[in-house]
Amino acid sequence: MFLVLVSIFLISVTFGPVFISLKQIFQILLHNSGFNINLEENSITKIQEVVLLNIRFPRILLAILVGLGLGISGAILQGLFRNPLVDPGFIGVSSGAAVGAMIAIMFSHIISVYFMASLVPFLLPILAMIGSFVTTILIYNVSKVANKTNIMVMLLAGIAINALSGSIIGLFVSVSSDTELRSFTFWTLGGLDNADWGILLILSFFIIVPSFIVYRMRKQMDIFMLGDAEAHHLGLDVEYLKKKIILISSMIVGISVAFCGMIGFIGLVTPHLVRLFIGSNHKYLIPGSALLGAILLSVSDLISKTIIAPAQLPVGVVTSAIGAPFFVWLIISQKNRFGYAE
Amino acid sequence: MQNNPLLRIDSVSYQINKKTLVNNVSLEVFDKDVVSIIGPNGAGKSTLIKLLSGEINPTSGSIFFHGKEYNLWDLKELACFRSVLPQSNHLTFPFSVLDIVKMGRYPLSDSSDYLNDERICKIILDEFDLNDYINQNYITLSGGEKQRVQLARVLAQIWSDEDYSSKVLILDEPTSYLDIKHQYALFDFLKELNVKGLSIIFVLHDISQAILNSSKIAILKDSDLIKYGKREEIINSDLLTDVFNVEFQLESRIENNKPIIYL
Repeated sequence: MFLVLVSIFLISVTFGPVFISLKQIFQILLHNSGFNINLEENSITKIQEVVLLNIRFPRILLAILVGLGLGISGAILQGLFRNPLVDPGFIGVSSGAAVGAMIAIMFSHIISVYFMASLVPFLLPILAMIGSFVTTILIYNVSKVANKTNIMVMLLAGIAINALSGSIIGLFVSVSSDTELRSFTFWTLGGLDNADWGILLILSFFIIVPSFIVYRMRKQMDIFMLGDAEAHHLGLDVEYLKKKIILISSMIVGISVAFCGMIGFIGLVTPHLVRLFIGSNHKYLIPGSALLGAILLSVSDLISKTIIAPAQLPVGVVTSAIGAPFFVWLIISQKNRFGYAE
Repeated sequence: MQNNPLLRIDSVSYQINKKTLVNNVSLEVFDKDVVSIIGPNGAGKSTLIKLLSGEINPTSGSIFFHGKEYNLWDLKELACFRSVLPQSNHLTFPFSVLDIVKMGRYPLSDSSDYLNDERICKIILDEFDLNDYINQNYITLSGGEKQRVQLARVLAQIWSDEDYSSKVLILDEPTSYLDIKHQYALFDFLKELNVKGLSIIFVLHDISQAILNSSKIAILKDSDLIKYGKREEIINSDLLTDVFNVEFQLESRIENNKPIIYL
């Protein structure tokens, strides 16, 4: 899987409006790490160099990072609800984050008056995280029937939250200017095209650190799958673990949505595929979901930037186009197990 | 030794939505006791089990395990001394049988090493006739097989090579889904561990099994503890008839060294 990811990385780096061959990539890299290689001699233009270092690399790394984060948060959210049909998107977590992000964008000039100037760049991720945190807790508590999450209630609560978020976003959209409106629309479709090294730095902190924490929780996650009572009797502080899952997943999803918009279905499909092939043991599920999430999102991004080139398709469109049919197949194949017929 | 009860519950009541599920129950469990809780449907057996295992807190009264109230225990430390099998299980994700039995070793993960865990899981898997299922996906198993896996898990949790004293095993209807062969095997195995010092508390539906396999019996009816004591003192057909509202004829005899009880 790791090799697949590396090869996708390499393919993705070469593709785009400006073609850069693999050989040229190495030459640029060597040049920039202090080796004495004359770029003009090798017919590498300054444009190619800038594109590679400031656009291609950040973008593909962003795809890997966000895909990894979505894969992991999907895995632990499905664990929290003990249900493999959970996706951060359609239980309202993403839209909650979107509302938070939207508030940050719309009111940044007002809020920044009251905050320290140094905090302003972090305002958007923080509000997005709070948004997704609030919606996760809300949905979790609403869907708890006699200490078990009820999938029907959960989906209904998700619909309600999505509708509510939609109306709040709609309210903001109707008071925004035309240019803001267009960027909102594209932002909600999801995109990795505003990647730069600064964003990468922030994201890597908010995704990689929680990912390590999640991996350290792998045994607890396994035991939690047995049921609340069983986990409690095995000596696990169940409520504390639940809070940790909610906090971490909303952090990862919130930060991803804040910078890349809503990228659907990666969080749903990834852990599910991993479970299908290597089971639910979190020792393998967590790294597997991280790796596969990164692969799926970078492939989707590759498709999104080549399929209607030189124009670009928002990556959320690609993931949904692939993910939605997969989800339908999932429901059909699982409906007996979850008793939808009841 | 009889002076220090392993588990003591002191005038414990539990109410939910103004409905009393367990009413003013007091009882003590000592080392090596095998206590079965019997009673008709809705008598409060499962609630009492949840109280005894510390899963829920009583509305009033107090529960002491090794002389210390449940909420004062460190959960992981507590899990090394008491293991619980709740009635239903909610596992919906694919785990292998071995993975699940190994989860029983979680509370000891700081003190027990990998090889020791492997060895213990192997012994228990063998004991529960699960050797052919080790790598099988739990959710594809039948009800009885699932129950055996869960039993194996709770036993892995308190496994000891010699001494089980000061440990308690709490089982809510351990025989459900089990066929007669595995029911007998379970009781034989539990008896073996009881000899090594393990205390056991279980809810049983089959009264003759309860009489056969326990040293003490608690009879619950309508949230009240009707009677609790040594089985010889407790069991008489008039009392049982009164509690269960069914005519009982109690007859027991020994045949080929095996006690036979007719109800």
